[in-house]
Amino acid sequence: MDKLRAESGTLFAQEMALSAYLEGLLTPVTAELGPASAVPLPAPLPSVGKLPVEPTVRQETALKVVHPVRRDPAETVPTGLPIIDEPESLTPKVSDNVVPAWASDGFECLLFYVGGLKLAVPLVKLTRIVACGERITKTPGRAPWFMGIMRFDDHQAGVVDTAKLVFPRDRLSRRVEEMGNADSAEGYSRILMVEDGRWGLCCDRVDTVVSLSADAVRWRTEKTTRRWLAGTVTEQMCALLDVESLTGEIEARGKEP
Amino acid sequence: MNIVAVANQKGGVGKTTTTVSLGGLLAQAGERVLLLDLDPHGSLTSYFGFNPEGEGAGVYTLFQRRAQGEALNPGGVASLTGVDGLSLICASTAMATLDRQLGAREGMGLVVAESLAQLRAQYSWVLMDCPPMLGVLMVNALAACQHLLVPVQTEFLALKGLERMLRTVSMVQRSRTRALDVTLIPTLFDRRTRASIDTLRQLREDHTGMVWPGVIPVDTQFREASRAGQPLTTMRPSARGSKAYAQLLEWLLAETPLGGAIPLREVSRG
Repeated sequence: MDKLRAESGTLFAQEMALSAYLEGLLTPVTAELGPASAVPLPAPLPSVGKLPVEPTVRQETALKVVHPVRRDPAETVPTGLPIIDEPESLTPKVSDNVVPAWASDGFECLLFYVGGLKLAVPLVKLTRIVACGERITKTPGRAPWFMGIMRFDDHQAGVVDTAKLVFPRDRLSRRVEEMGNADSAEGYSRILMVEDGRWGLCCDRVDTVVSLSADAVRWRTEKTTRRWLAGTVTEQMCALLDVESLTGEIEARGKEP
Repeated sequence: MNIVAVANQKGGVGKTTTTVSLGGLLAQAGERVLLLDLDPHGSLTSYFGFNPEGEGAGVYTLFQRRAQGEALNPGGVASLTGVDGLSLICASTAMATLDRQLGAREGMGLVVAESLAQLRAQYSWVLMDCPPMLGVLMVNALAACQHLLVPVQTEFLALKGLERMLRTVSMVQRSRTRALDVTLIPTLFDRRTRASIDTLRQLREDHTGMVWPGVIPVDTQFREASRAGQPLTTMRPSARGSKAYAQLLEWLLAETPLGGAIPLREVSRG
């Protein structure tokens, strides 16, 4: 049953994507477009998948604190996912202050897996998906989670071992054990390019795209720890990435001695 | 003006051959025919000796003009093919970047339809050779045409590709104001092979009422005609392939809304 629902969810999401695409193309334009609307010619790299990504809505502050929080141990969370800070109310009404601007009118997410942990990244933050076979140049003396740099479009992008960045120590050890003591970077198949392609997050596999409303997510209201976690997608029971906070943390950690 | 798209999301099924052959037959019958190469690979463009790697005016120019807010002026981008009554708007490899450049920008699916509307007085028939993938060019073709021809190679893998193509068509149908007539054309039929015979039977069972009752046979003379830059139907009207396309055109004119455009007796039968 769950499998069936997952399958129909996949079909629905794909149909939605196609419908939106066709609707856009086939909507007559009344006003003539000016030269300013011309899009510069890109120089695409080979990729394994390209998703129709909306223009990124930049946010100065990803999420605002609206009221004190308490930990609710009764809350069901994705297996292996740390307990998420919850608002006081057990049935919180989604507040506009908490919901990022790009999510307010509904949004789409790509679900992907890292070491058995299901994560979601908003499509508006995703630039492209590329194969892990892309050449990654290792750079000595960097943090353990920094796998190296790779050429992406016309610039260099940093590639991140996502497991090392988001997993707690014990879970990371388990992953390494499960992989026959190989480095956690072994086995990654895809790189999710985010932040206009400046960073690549490695993952084991890409799943599907789901359409969500803002109240389908338990948004975190205070982020003193795990800043990369925007909230939990309740139906899919997975962690929603806060890409800006995550890359901010990567850059901050990168400056650590 | 009759506007026909020739499309299938599987490559190598005979899209360009179908476009050229039908275009040649119609031109022979005295029609003013415009061919549009909407495939960035530019097979149709190369067929008539033009270079898709070049930067000459063509389909890409129309999209450039629309993006820059200029008049489309489609008449100015058509080239003569050397075959009487047959003109061509060329493809260029730059067209492969259109999806990336345009995304799903409003109105960009209607550039071809609007261009053809401006050419009603110059041409009586338009045949469009479509790209083998869903994208802005395929959407343009499906939005502009009245009739869709889907060449289907008579081998089992092609049936899978056909399902994908028909799903795409049904999606675009919802955005169209008029229904789109679809005809499936069995191509590359080799009567000596079991696979061809079985696939043809399966195709007719699965898509009753949509399949042209004839077949386009494997014919090595198609390749010779492409080297000469001439439609086979013009170069060798008595070839098996030419005769098959003449029968297809006759059937289309008699059995579909495309009928009545030209007297059937004037269609060359070789």
